[in-house]
Amino acid sequence: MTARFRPVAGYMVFVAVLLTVPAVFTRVPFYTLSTAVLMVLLAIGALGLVPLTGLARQVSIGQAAFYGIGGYTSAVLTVRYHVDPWWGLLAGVVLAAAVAWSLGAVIFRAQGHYLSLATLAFGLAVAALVNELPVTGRNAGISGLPPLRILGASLTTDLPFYWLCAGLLLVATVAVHLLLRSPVGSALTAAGDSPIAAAAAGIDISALRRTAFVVSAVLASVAGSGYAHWFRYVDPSMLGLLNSVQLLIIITVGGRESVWGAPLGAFTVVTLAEVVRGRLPGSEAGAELTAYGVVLVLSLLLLPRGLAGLPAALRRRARGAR
Amino acid sequence: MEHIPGYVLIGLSTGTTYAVIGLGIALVYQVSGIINFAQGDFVMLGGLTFAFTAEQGAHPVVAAALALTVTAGCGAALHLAVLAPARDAGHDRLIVLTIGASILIQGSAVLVFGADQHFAAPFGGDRQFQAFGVSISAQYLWCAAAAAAVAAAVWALLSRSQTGRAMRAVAADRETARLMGIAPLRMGLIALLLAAVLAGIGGVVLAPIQPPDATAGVPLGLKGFTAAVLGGLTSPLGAIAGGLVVGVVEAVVTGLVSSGYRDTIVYGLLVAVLLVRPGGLLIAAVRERL
Amino acid sequence: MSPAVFEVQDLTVRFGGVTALDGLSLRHDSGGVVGLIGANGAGKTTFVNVLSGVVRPARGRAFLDGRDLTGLAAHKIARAGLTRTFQNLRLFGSLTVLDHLLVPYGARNHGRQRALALLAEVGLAGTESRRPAELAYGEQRRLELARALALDPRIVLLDEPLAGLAGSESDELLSLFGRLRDGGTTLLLIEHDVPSVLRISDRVLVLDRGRLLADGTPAEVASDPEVRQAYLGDDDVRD
Repeated sequence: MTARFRPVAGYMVFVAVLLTVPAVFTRVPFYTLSTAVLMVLLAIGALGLVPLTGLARQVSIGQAAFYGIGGYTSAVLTVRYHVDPWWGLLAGVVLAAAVAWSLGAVIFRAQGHYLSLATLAFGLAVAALVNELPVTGRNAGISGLPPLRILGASLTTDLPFYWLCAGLLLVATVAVHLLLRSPVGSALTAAGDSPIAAAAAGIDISALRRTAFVVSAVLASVAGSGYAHWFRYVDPSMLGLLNSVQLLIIITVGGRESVWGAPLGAFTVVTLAEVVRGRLPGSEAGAELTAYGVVLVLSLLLLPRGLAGLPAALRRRARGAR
Repeated sequence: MEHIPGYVLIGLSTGTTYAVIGLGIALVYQVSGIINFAQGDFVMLGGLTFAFTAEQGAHPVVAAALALTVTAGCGAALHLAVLAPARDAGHDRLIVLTIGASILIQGSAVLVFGADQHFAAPFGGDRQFQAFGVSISAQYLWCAAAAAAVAAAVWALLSRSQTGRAMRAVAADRETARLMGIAPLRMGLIALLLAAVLAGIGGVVLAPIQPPDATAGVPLGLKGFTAAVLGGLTSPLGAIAGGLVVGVVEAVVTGLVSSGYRDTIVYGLLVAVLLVRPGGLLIAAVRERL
Repeated sequence: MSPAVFEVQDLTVRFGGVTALDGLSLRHDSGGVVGLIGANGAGKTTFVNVLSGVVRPARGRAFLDGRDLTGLAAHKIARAGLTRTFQNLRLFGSLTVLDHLLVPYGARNHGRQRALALLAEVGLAGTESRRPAELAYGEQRRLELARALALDPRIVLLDEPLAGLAGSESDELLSLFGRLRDGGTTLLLIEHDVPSVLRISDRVLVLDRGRLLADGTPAEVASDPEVRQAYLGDDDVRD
C-alpha cells in the first residue's frame, strides 16, 4: 500500500468501526451505548489538541473551560431563553472561539511555555465563576435541557444520539485532517519543531498558535454542548481540572500528531477507567487517578507518538532489522 | 476599610506558604527549565503524611521527619524515573509528564490515605493571637518562621556554596556549564529534591491550619505558580515576594468582596499577570540580586 | 543619497551585565559578500540575532533598504527581505525537504515549482521527500541555506555556514555564494574559516568585544596591524 492511499484506507476502517460499535458495545461486558457516546464526545474534544499540542507543541490544561462554555451556553440559552438547541450549540462555538481568540491574542505574544500556566489558571477561574454566578445556577447547575432534534425527531435515546455524535466526529476528523495537510499544518509543524527557525522562514507563529488554540476551543465546545444535551443537565464538575487533563491524556496515549490519536485515545482511556473502577482497592477516584497517571507517564516515555504512531514505529523497526 | 490592616496580616500569614511553594517552582524552572505541575502535590503529600502519621500516635517530630523523607523520595523518583529518561523530549512533553506525575501522586495518596481530610494538632498547642482586630492562629508564626528559614537556606546555598554556584551556572547557560564540567542533569536532580523538601516543609507547617486531603495540592500549587510568575518565574527571591502578594490579595478580596469569588479572582490574577507581564511584575527589583 | 542595503546605528545589546554589542554603527551600500569575523564572544551571532529579530536591542536601530526593522517581529523582518541561517542547524525535524521550502512559500502560486527549482540550485534535487535526519550533514547545511533563500531575500545572514564541512563541500558552497552574489543578493558571511572569508568577501568587518575593530577590503583587513595582533596572529586564531 502506498502512502498516498493510506488515509483512504484509514477512513474506511474508521467508518467501519464507527458503524459496528453499536452492535458490539451492546453485546460485550462493561461496554454500553453510553460508553460509546462518551468516547465519541471525548474524541471530538481531544481532536482539537492535535494541531495545538501535537503539531505546534503548545500544552493547554484548560480545555474543560471551553467544554464548559459549550455546555453552559447551550444550557442557559435553551433552558432560560428557549432557544433552539442547534443555535445554542452554535452560540457556544462562537463564544468559545471568541474567548480563545482574545486569550490567545495576548498570551502568544510572549515566547516560552506560558500557555500551560495561563490555561490552567483560566480554566480554574472560569470553573470558580460558574460555581458562583446566579445565571449558571451556582453549584446546582442547570437541569432540564431539551434534547437535540434532527428533522423533527428528538434524539432522546442513546442509539440515535450515538449516530449523531459519530457523524460529528467523522466530519471533525476530516476537517482537522485537511487542516494538517494544508500549508497551515506544515507551518504548525515547523513552528513546533523550531519556533525561531519558523519565524525566520517568515511564519507568524503567534497568529498560527492562536489559530490552533481557537480550533481546539471550538471542538471542545461542540463536545460540551453535545454532552449537555445528551445528559440534559450541566453542573460545575464539567469544568473540573480532571476533564482538561483527561483530554490531554487521550491525545497523548492515542497519538498527538495524528487525527486517529483522538478516537484511539478516547477508547483506551474510557476503557481503562471502566476497568479500574471497582477493581482496585480503595476508592474509585484514587484508582482512576493512579491509572491515568501511570498510563500518561508510561506512554510518554515508551510510546512518544502514541498508539497511532505504533504502526509506523513497527514498520521502522522491521526495516531496521532487515 | 478599617479592617484592611487585619486582612493584610492574614494575607501575609497565608502568603508565607505560597512563598515556599513558589520558591520551589522557581528553583526547578531556573535550573532545568521545567514547569513542575506536581509541586502542589508535594505539599499535599508532605502535609498528609505528617497528619496521618501524627493521627496514628507518632511524635510530631517523627511524623515531620517521615513526611520530609517521603516528599524527598518522591521528588527524587520524579526526576530519576520520569524526567531524566525524557530529558531529550521537548519542553511540551516534560510539562505533560509533570502533570502525569501530579495525578499519579494524587491517586496514590487517595489509595494510601483515603479521600478524607486528616488532622494534625498545632505545634505548641491551639493558641490564637490578636492584632489589628483579627484573630490569627499562632501556627502561622511557624509558617512564617519556616518560610524565613528556607528562604535563608536557599539563598545561602545559591550564593555561598559550590553546588549553588553550579546550579546558577546551569541556569545561566546550560551548554557552557556542561563544558565547565557541571552536569545539568545532576543539578536538575538537586533542584527538584530541594523543591520537594521545601514543599514538604510547607505541607507540614500548614497541615494544622488547613487539614489536607488528596486534592489539596492543586489550589496550593496554583497559588505557588502565581507567586513564582509574579516574581518572574526564574527568581527564587521574587517568588517569595510574589507569594506574600498572592496571600494579601486573596485575604483582602475575601474580606472585602466575598469568599465565593476568591478563587476566581486569585486565578484570574495569574491569568492577568501572564497576559500583562509574562516576565513577572517584581523581577526588575530582584533580578540583579540573585 | 539612496538608502543603504543595510544600515545599523548605535546598536547596543546587553545580557545581564555583559555588553554583547556596544554602540555598533555601519552601513553597506552595494551588494556583494560582506565577511564578518571576530573571536568567540565578539558579538557576531548577537549581531545576526538582533538583525533577524530574535533579540531586541537595548538601543539603536537597524534598516533594510531604508526601512526601519527595529522592533519588528522576526517573521516580518524575514518577509521584508532579511533572512538567515543558524549556526547550530535548526531544521524542521518532522517535515520533508520539500515542505521546508513550501512553509515560506505558503500557498502561493507555483510555490512547488519554485521550491523544486531552488532545491536543484543548491544541489538537493532528488531529496524532496526525505526528512532532515535522513540527509548528510552537508545536505542539511544546504537545506538551511535553501530555506533562507526561499523568501527571495535582499540580504542573507549566514551564521557559520561552512562549520563542520569537508573541503570539497565547503568549496561547493562558496561557489554557490558567488553565484548568489552575482544574482544580486547581498550576503553577510560569519565564518571562523578566515582564509575562506578573505578569499570570497568584497568587504570584511572585524568585531571585537561588541565593537568594530576593522572595516575594509580583504587586503586592507589582512594587513591591518591591530587585526593581525588581536585576531589573525599566527598562533592566536582563537576558536
